[in-house]
Amino acid sequence: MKKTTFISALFLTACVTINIYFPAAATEKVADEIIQSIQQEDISPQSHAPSISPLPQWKVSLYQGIDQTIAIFISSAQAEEVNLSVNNSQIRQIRARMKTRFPTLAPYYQLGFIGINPQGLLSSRGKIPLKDRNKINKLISAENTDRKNLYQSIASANNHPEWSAQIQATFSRSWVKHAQTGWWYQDGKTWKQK
Amino acid sequence: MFKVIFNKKGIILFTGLFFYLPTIFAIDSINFSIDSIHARNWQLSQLNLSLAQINSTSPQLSLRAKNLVLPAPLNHTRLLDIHCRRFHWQKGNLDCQQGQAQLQSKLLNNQNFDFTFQVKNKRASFSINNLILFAGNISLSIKEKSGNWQASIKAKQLDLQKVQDFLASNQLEILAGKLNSEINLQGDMSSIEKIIISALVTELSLQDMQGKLATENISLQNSFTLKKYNNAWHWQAEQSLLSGAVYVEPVYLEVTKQKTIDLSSTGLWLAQKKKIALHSVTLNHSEFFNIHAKADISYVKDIQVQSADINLKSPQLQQISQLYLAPFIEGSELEGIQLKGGLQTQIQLKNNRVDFVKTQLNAVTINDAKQRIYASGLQGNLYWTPSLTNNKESTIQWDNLAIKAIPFAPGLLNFSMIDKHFTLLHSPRLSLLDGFFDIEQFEFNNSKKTGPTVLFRARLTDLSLNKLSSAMNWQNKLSGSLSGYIPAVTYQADTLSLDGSLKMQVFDGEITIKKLASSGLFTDFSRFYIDLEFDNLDLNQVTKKFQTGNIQGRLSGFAHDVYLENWQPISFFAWLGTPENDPSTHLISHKAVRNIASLGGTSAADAISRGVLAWFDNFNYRTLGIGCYLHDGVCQMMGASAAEKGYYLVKGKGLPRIDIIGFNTRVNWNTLVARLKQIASPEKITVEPLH
Repeated sequence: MKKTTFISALFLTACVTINIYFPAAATEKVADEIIQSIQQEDISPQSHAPSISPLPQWKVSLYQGIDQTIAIFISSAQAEEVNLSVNNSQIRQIRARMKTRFPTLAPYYQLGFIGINPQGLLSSRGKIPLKDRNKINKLISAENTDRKNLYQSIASANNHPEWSAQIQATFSRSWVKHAQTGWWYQDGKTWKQK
Repeated sequence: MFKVIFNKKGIILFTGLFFYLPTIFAIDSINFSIDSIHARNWQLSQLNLSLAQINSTSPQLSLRAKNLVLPAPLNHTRLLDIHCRRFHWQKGNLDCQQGQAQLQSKLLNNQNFDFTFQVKNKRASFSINNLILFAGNISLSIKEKSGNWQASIKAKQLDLQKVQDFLASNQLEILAGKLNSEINLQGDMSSIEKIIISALVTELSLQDMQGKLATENISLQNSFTLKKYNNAWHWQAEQSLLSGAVYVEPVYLEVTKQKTIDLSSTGLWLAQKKKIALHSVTLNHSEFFNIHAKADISYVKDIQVQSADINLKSPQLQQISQLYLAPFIEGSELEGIQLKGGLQTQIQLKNNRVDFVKTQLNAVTINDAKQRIYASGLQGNLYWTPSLTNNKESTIQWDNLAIKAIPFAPGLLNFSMIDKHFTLLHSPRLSLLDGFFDIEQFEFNNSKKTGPTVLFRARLTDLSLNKLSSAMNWQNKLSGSLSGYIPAVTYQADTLSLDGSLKMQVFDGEITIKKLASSGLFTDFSRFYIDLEFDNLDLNQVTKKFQTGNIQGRLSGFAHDVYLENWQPISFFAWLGTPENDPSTHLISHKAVRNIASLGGTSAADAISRGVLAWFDNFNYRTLGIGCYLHDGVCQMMGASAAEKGYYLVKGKGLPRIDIIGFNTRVNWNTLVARLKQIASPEKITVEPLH
């Protein structure tokens, strides 16, 4: 946010039309971070805390003052083009559930009983042994519910609920990108193994 | 009764041969053409009769016919190209042996098979053998006497996959399976009087299109008897699942011959009155459980259970829990709950509504893999009714009970359960952590009008904090006690909130807990909201307990709007420090100074270890204090009072005077926690600037 404040201040005197575009790059970055944290890293609420600026205090104060002044004239929506907020209680809760669930899902990814569909959700596939069918069905159902809620929550947290579908599309690419070797994903209607 | 229709050529040939041939030639065989032969409801048409070996002592009559029409109920089936190698035809009698024919049926494909039939006086019989259908073998036998008939159909090794192809059913996909069965029917020309079916299905693997039902290699034994009884049908049925695997969402069962699933039922079907009297239904899954039920059901408009009595008996709850309960609760908040012991339940229904439930617990154990609850030696009788009528007081008692590792002494609860209303009776006193938990009132109501509501009043008296520390496996054991009065509890938006306050008498002071609320307490993502007040704690005791280096004096403060997720602080506003006008001795040890200095991230910790200050074990101080406003993972730091460019963590007094001043006002919470943990292990102290 602070990087943009000086540039924004320069344009304050001009007549500016501001269009709010979907922050594709920021979403992709967020998707990558979230998926990696779910599949690999330990997640804790504190780990997402913003770091303290390394700038001298007088500079920080100056920037904050300018930032607040500009904020009177420009809504926060423009700033969201570069930053996507993903740190609220609801998102933390969803991420925690997905993180907890992942170790249970992982062997079924590897066995090919679940795969990633083009919507960025999970589908069952292959001949699932009867004894595992209930577990897999429920895992898929719970995971898909969380994924949909995650996409919607990110969109809502950034005051753009209409971005949900675009966030989902971005995540769907990231899920495939971060799929491990041997996992299955759907390319159109065809299942492919990574 | 018996009629023969000759065609004209047949009559001429027959007459000519009869009068002429015997006198001129020695004849070996004679052929007759006949339009049709009727024998009651049997009809042979376009016949050709051959009399062979006329000169022998036993001439052979054989028959070829275009078709044979059978009486009801087989009147839709025609036999074509009939050939009887041995045929007897005398007045009133037809007898075809060693017959061969082709079956033409609306239901079945054309088939060649062996057959015999005999029509004699008031009796008739008909049999088909070696009819190859669905890759198996079918034989049929019908006997008829004076309008009453008996039929027997035997099927051997029918391929059920082919049967499904024939039936063109889309609901189930049969992957494999064999059927051996025998069907016996009795009746008269107008109706069927009795049906007896026995069947053995083997190697059956199937699945439905929705994936909710599937079997693997199951063997299923069935017997079914249906008999007309005045204006009703009486049935008796028995089914046994002998082996294989079954999935009926969400339950998966593996059945062995030692642990079969058996279902039997008897009853009366009153078709005209549209009623079913279910005299007895029994379902057994080995020794795991037994369900016995009887019911009266009407289906005039909708299905109406007029009355029903269901009894469930399970001496092995452990198996039931694993097989039947676990699949249902998997993925829910109850996942991990396991049961042991025995249980008996009686359920009564009236007019499609449950009218009475009684459950008897017998040495039940509740175990939770997630260690939220444990109970053993549970005994009791639980009653539920939809209204006050017939309601009884329920009782439950336990030998061992622990909630979230907090143990309760053996106890007893009495309560009533009416519709969606639960009321605890007799204000029980439970022994807990060497103290008492007196529940003055507990009511839970989940009506449609108000939603879930809770009425709760309770008092905690002298709960041992030492016992609590041990139960929670805290590294530092607390001493003191916890008491309090909870005047009310509210439950709204999945959040449980306690009014009133709990007071902990600890460290010679008091900690007050207020505004305690929790949501998702038993889930994987619990949230807590709490306000804490600290009053006049003895720092000497506190610092001894937490090994932070001795400090003498008193400590007061607060932690407001504390919000925890999974027991991790997310936000709060807290301050702890020397109370105003505190008359106690204010001394701080060398070690404590080092530790506090390390929190501030300055090099003072090293400084006091060198030079003159190193000679002193303790220092006097005027005030000390530390505060934090936690938000977004960052602590906005405060001290006892403001200092130039910072804040006093410790403000010294006298000589040698030592002040500890913090300069970093914004501290990363994780780093601060790490430092606090290090303080407890002095040999690991490292001083680095906080950032």
